[in-house]
Amino acid sequence: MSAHATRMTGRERAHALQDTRAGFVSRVVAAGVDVVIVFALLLVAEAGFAAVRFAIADQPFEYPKLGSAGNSSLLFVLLVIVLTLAWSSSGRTLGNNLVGLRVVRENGGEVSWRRALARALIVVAFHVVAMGWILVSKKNAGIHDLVCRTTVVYDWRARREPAAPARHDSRQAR
Amino acid sequence: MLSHGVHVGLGALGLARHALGAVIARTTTPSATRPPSPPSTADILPGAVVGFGILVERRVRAVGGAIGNGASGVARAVGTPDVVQRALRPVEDVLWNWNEIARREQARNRAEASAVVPTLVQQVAENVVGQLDFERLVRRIPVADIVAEVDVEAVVARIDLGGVIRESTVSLGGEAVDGLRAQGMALDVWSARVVDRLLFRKRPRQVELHPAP
Repeated sequence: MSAHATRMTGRERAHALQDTRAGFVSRVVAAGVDVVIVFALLLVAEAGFAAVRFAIADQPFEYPKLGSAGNSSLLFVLLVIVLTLAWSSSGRTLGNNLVGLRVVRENGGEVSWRRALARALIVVAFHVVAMGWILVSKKNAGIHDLVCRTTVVYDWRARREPAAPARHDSRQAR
Repeated sequence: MLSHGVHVGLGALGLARHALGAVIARTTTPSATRPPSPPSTADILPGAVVGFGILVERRVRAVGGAIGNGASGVARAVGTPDVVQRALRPVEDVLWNWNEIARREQARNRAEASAVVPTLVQQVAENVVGQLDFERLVRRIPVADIVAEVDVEAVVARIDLGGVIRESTVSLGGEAVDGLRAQGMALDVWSARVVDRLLFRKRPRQVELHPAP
């Protein structure tokens, strides 16, 4: 992260930092968006379960009483599933998409589902340490990145700005 | 130049004749029952005069061209010897002098005309506008009839209002997201700098995926 990058305008910085390793703030924001979305999904799933139970078993419509441990476990499982599917398919979760990030391997290649699963398990289980390590890492790498040999790069182009031809070619080659 | 002037003059005559005919046709009461009659000799007389004028102009131009060509050939042949040229030099000087006087006078006239014409046009326009009764003119415009003729529903149906709103919303939303992303990048750089200073790091972070060797 050069000092020159701090003196650039927003557009120049956006252009210059594409395909470089993303920093702490962007990744935390993306992760926060993912957690909120998955939490909303969990609420919807539990509401759906309550509706089915209300319709079939003739029980009152109420959220299942799973307790904090049960809800945390469900959230954990749902997060791991969502993150694994997103990283192994497009390399982006919804949060990544919003912030303009993409998960790739250290060599720039796509992430396999096994690697994505391991990465998701680590980051969900040890989220504070795993994400906090990005701040002190010289490569902006979290614990999950170091273990799974992955990294997160900026991958978005400012609108009204022509895409660089070299990048276009590399995408086609991929 | 002369030919152009004649053309313009004839064209202006034709236009004036058309305008006069239109005015006369409006002022006289048209009879709906009378069938259109073939033009009489008196009707075609103005056109015949104009046609005769065009023919005369063409003939005069052809004769003038022939005379001019012959005269210039003779003048070249006569004026070539040194003796003749020496004799003609004072005449040539006088001609140059007159030409120079004419050029200066014409430049002055053009400048005066270009200064007068805008003022004249403006004053004429102001007088014409001042004579118009705009309120009466506006009252005579059948606004209600015009509005009744317009099929507003068809016009609205042609406009893809949803598409317009969608495009503008997507564009605005996209630019806002880009702004947030750029802000996130700036905060990334700033937070990394703060931590690197706290850790007394001298070298910048290795953020390139494939750093140059």
